[in-house]
Amino acid sequence: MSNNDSRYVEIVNLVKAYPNPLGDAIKVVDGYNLTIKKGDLVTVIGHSGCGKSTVLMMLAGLNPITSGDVVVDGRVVDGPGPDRAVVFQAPCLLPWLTSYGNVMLGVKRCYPHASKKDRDDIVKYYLNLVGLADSMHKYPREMSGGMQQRVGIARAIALKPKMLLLDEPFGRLDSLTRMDLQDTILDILDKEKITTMLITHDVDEAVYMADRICMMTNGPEARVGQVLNVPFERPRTRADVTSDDLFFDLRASLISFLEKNEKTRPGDQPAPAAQPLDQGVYEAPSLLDTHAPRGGGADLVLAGSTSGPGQGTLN
Amino acid sequence: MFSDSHLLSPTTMTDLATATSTLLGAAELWRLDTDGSLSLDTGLYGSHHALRDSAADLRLASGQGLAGSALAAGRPRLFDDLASVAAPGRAQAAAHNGLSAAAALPRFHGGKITSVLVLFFRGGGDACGGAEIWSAGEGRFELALGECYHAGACLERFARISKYVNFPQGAGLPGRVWEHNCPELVPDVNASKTFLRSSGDGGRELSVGLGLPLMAGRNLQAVLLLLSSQTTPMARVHEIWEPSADDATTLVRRHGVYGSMPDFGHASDDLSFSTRNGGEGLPGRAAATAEPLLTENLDDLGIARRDAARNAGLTSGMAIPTVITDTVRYVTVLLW
Repeated sequence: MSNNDSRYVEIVNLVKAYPNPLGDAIKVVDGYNLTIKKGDLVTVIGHSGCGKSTVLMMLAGLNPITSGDVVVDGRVVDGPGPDRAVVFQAPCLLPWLTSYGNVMLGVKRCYPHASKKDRDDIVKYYLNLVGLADSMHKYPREMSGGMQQRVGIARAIALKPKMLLLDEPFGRLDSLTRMDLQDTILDILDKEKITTMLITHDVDEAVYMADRICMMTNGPEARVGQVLNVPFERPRTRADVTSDDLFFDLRASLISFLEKNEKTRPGDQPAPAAQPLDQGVYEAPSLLDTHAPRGGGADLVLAGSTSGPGQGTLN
Repeated sequence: MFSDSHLLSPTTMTDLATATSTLLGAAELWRLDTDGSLSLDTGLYGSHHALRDSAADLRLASGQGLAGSALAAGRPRLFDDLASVAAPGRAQAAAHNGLSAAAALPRFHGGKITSVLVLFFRGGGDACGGAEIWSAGEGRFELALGECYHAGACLERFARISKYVNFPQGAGLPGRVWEHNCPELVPDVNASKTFLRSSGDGGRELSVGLGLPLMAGRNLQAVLLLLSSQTTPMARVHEIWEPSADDATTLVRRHGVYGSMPDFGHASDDLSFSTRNGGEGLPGRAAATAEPLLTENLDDLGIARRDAARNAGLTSGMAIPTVITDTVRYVTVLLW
């Protein structure tokens, strides 16, 4: 794997701030750093409202970035594009079009020079891939929620995106449909090797589906808390994964991370004043951030690194 | 800001108060001689006489022994199997003294290694805690766990999970140390937002976490994490000193964790150390020379707290300067 493939997606010091009429802008996401290898599936997990979807929307180019960089395959993201396809929790299908028509809509825009037959083949191929070969001419009202979501997934991957962005796509589905659709997506990704970010609240889903799990701290000023590498081989089956002891270790790690985050919300932090020594701890009243420039901070790079988007990069 | 919590839990306080042995058992400073070999400069052995005797008149070539291995690698190393790397007789001496792992940390000046600090860690018995080296993950802009030592069954699950964890810049304790190139102390890792690595039930015994940036010039080579447990703290006192904002030649305390020794902590209030004229006290001298410093002289801790140190039973002290582009930014002090 080339260096570019190992850093196929780079999110560097990403910040999203919203204006606050009563004071300083509120940073919902602050200093979010993440790299994603080509073909990896990264699940993002964190408490409700921590900023997971905000990060995904910035990757999609649907929400402007306040500062920082998002780079996909060497190109800085500066707006939405067909190279990054999004599947939302709601399928958002056009009700007057069949499943075939909904998928064809994007295919026509992405393959303007393809022949009619080629476009037809593409639509049928991807609807078949998501298990809707027999439902191509059904309207959304004639399909279950799971089937509609399959159309949404087919519509996204038919664009042959460099990156697939899934924002809680199983959130509205019952557990059996959810598991079925999880396996469908894993099968597709095993074939298509699309680099994917999946936002989820479900711990089991995060472990089962991911190559890596990005755990986010609570907002405001949310960032990556840690990244967990999931070593299960692909293709993987639910039975194999869930019978592995490591699955339970990883699951426990995620749950305790979330529990700990719940207990340490930003508002719970004590003021950074000198601490009483009868507690055995002394901390100078200064904030670390105010001293950061003296430490050298941003202009330093890890040894053996070369320049990257805004910072040093690892080799 | 350092962390969300600066208070030790009552449990932590009690356990640290009754702790008599530290995970850090001995330390040595090896200097590079003009012939390219390493010779022992100073050592802190406490009652570990066998280890001290095994170092007498020893010279280490590059690649030889613990310090020589770090010299040859040009980067920090951590060994949990001393027999495979230590100079002849030293692994047995360490084992005889209950020391089962060691870290070797090269110090760079002008792009070259000038000395190697070796830290020995206890094992067996009630030992619980760890030392970890976090460095660049392969092909990623993240820190991954490299060589590590986790003592005790209490950290079995924590150790098992840790090898799957990565930290981007700014994430977790290693990522924050990387972000600021600043040593950072977490008084109680279980209550801290800074220390988010967790593994279910594993790791609840941990108390103090110390992250040290290991620099080579202006580049961060790795982050060393020293993890204390309630039963066996890494050291009994952890301190970080920094140049005063008003006078860069005076070190003032930035952060201190004193566990069961609030008297010693109080004696440290308003204390400062000059770095002029060869430096004053343990941190001042380390800053003046920009080299790690080991001492058994309680006067080096500052006259104002010499008695408190004696009353607390402290016998050994170590100062590790964080040097960025030949400028000392911080001095981390460990006392035991």
